[in-house]
Amino acid sequence: MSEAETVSRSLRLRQAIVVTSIIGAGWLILWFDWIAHLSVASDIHLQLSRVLLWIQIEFVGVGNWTWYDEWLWFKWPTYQNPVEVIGFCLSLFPVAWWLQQARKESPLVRYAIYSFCIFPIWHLLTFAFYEMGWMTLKAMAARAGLCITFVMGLGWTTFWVERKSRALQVARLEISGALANVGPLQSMHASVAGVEIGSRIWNPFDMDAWFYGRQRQKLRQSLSVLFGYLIAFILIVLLLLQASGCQELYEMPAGGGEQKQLQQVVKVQKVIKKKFIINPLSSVIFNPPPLEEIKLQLLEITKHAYQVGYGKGAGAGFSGGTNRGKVRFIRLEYSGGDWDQGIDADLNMLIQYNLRTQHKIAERPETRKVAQLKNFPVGKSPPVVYMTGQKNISLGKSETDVLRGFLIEKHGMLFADNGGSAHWGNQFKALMGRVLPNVPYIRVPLDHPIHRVPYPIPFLPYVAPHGGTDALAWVVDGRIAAYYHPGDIGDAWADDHAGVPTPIWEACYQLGTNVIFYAHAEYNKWLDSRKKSD
Amino acid sequence: MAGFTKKIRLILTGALFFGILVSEHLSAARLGYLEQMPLEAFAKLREIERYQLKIAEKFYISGDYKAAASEYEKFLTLYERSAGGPYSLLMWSHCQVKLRLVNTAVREGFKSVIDYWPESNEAILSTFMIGNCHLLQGEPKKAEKVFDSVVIDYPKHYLATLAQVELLGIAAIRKDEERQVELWTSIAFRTAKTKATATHRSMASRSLAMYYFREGEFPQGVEALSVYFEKDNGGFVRYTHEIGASAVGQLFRTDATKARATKLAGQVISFLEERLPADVSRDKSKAQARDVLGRIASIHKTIDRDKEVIAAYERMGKILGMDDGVLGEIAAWHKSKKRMEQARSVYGRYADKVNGRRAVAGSFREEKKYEEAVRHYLALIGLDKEREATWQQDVVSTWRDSSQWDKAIATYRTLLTVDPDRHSDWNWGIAECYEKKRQWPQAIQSYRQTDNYPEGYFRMAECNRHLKKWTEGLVLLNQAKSHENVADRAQHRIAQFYELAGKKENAIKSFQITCKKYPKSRYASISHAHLQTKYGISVTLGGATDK
Repeated sequence: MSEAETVSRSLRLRQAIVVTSIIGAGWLILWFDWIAHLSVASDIHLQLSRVLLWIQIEFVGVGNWTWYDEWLWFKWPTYQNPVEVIGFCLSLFPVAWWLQQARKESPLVRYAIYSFCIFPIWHLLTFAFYEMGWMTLKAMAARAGLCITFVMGLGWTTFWVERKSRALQVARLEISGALANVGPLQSMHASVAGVEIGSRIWNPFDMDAWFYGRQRQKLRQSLSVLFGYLIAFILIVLLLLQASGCQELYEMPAGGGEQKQLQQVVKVQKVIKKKFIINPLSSVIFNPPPLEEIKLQLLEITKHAYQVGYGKGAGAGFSGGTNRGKVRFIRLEYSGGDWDQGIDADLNMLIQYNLRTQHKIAERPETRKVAQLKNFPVGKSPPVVYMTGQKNISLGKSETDVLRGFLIEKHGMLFADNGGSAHWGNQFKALMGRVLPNVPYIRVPLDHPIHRVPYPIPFLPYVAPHGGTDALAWVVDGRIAAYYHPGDIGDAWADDHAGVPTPIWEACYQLGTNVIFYAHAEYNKWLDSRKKSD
Repeated sequence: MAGFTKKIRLILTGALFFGILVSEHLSAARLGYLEQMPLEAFAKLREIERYQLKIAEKFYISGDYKAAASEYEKFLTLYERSAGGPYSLLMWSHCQVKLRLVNTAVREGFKSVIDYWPESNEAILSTFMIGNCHLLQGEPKKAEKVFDSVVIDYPKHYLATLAQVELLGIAAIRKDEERQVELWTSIAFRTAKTKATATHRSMASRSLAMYYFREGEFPQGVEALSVYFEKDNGGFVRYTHEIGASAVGQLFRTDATKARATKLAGQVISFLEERLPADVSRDKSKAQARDVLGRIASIHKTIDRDKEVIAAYERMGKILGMDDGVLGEIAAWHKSKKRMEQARSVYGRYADKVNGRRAVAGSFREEKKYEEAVRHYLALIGLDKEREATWQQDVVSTWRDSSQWDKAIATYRTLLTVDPDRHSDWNWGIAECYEKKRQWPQAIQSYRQTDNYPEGYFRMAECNRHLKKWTEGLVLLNQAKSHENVADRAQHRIAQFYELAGKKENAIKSFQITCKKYPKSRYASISHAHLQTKYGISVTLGGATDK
């Protein structure tokens, strides 16, 4: 290779590194934000909107910012996080370039490039599955990526420690010029270099460090590396999981309507049967049907006699909502159990809610960790979050406090669904005992608004009686702050409806609609009262 | 003859009248205070109205609230101006509450009673019930207002006491001790002393006493109790001791309050000492002395004063004579302190040698010295042959405790000859022992000789499971399934048997049948979850409503 070629290659490499670093930094921000399940897009959007608004006011003199809203939010109707879609896709270009370059490099550099390239590919896959709404695949991709990262990191750490350790052994051998008194078999797990008597080595990369002892130093060093790496990995993962990111907003769809039951309308349609006029002189004789027989066909139809919603406004929605607001279905992530049980059914419920109420809804359901609920400001937080499972619920004190704040200060509501065991029901009751210690639960009456509006449900439908047959509620200031369904309502929302009879799954959809609507209507009332008091 | 017939007629009419009265009284007794009609109003009703109410009440008592509500509604339609109108509407509202239509009950029932018949007794009941409904809806603030109004508006009415009890419940949830004390005081001291309020006054007195005892204000606590137990000295002593001991126990648990516990214990003991009769020559005063001394000893026990406990019992022995009762108490204390030899030596002093030996055997059993225990039980047969079956049962329990199944089986066989009437129980015991020994065929054979079905089918099926005789097991479970009350359990177990036998498809089908046929059973819940987690099958069938 000529000198010119070497210079050109080095220049190209430097440029590539700079470009990759810039894209990598952007990708890192997006990734960090996204793994915390926060939409940085909304934050970027807000900042951008503010800048544009300032320019508009300064230079055009008009303070209306609606068109920016529409442009930024509705230009990308398919994607929930357009900025992240662009960002993650952009990161594929340097990945492809580096993978191409890796072929020409030495094995060590090649493996290093491969290792780095795994991250963007992993996150792009996970993100893509999320955007497609394939939540199970998303969860699988996330877990598989984590496992690969762990193994890869362990491999690199072992390689690095081994290299350093060998270098130190070789250096000592060169100084002493003699092997320690160890056999070839022992040398597999013991130090081969003798240590000067009286010296105390502290370097953990050195096998002859005093804390590895005088026998089986290599084995001890390897075990130390393994446990050290394991602890460091767990700590980093925990740290990242704790990261809750920046503030985010929940806005209800603008509109109005009444918090009333759906009206049952009976339409009576008269069907007049054919009348036969018979010629008495005809040779054909047959028995004529009674002339007065009129068959009534009663067709029961249900229609919206009003708009489902709350307050005054055009279209179905909420007076406290905004034009860009949507009803979102947020599932709570918690540790200890299977929070993601039957997660695919969430989308069905969301779509059914839209069909039944005509409220604008989000493209797909979302998930949030309990700690992330604190990122929503008061007045712009979700009116309802859903949680289910059949194993354990283990929330720490800080999470319990966040949940209490969400239910009381932020006027939120918890919609809990027992997904498969009496144990989960007891765990949930115990959790609520900690969250709202002075609020005992009640059996929700069948004529409570939550069971009546918009759909009057004369009974409580369930798929299986995991936690009894009664819906329970924790009421704070006359408002249901937590609603507990005992029998896996989420299963009835699934594509196959768990095979339950049609009236049951239909009632389950109706109940789901009622609960979501109740939470939003109550939230709207609270917003109204806040406005008045302001 | 005519006179005789007249007499018979009179007797029969009297008996009929008495019967009606009794039956009415009984049916009224089944209704709660809030569901009863005042006698004066009932007297004003016509026979046909009473009949209609009886029909409605019959449905109400049987739990068919929907039918009862219709009948009460019918009453209102037919006899709009009747004196039973408010009662009928009140009961209709009760039906709505039972049907979990609480809002409807308030809006269309209780409030209407107040609006249409504001002067009636039912209006007061309705006001109270509105408060109750607020509680059922989880709105204690609204309920509190209503109950407060009941207490203020009708201070002499029994409902004022009930309202205060409900207010106590609200205060307890809020952990508002000050309010609780206020209400306890009001109920204990200011409520009319009637039979109806007795339970609530007693509760309030005891709660107040407990509060004062814990706070170290013994005289106030005693005063609170004396209000209720003024005419019942036995109850007064009993509750002062029991509540005092409980408070002492609670305070003694933590180091910070141990001194208070000791002080309170001293006060309770002094209180009891004052109640010790000076002359114990009469039987009544003897019993009283025994009771008081026993209570003194128990206070010493609560604060773990070993010597004082023994001294208290020895004092009891001196005063009343050292009988088996006193000795038993001393031995029990020794046992609780793990001084088994001392306890046994005390048992040896029993006048009733049979009981003494049985207690000795029991103490060996507690120490897990089973052979010794059995030796003593067998010796009891010589002492009291008539109760051989009892002693053999003790022996068999001892062998079972020590997991000596062969010996237990042998004893069960002896029991079969000693007490053949209970052969089913003994065979059941033998079968259980064989199960423990994992001798499944013998266990099945013994279960067959019992008459405990359908449980026997399940047990035999389990034995067949261990023998991997799936078909036999399934046959037995299907036999068990014919018993309606265990059909769901049997169906679920059938599914599990198929699963264990490796017949996956049959297992899935059986689990689904459990969900479909018994959707309200807990086995449906287990099957549903199992199908999802084990097989990943979401179509589990089932589904029901709470109707």
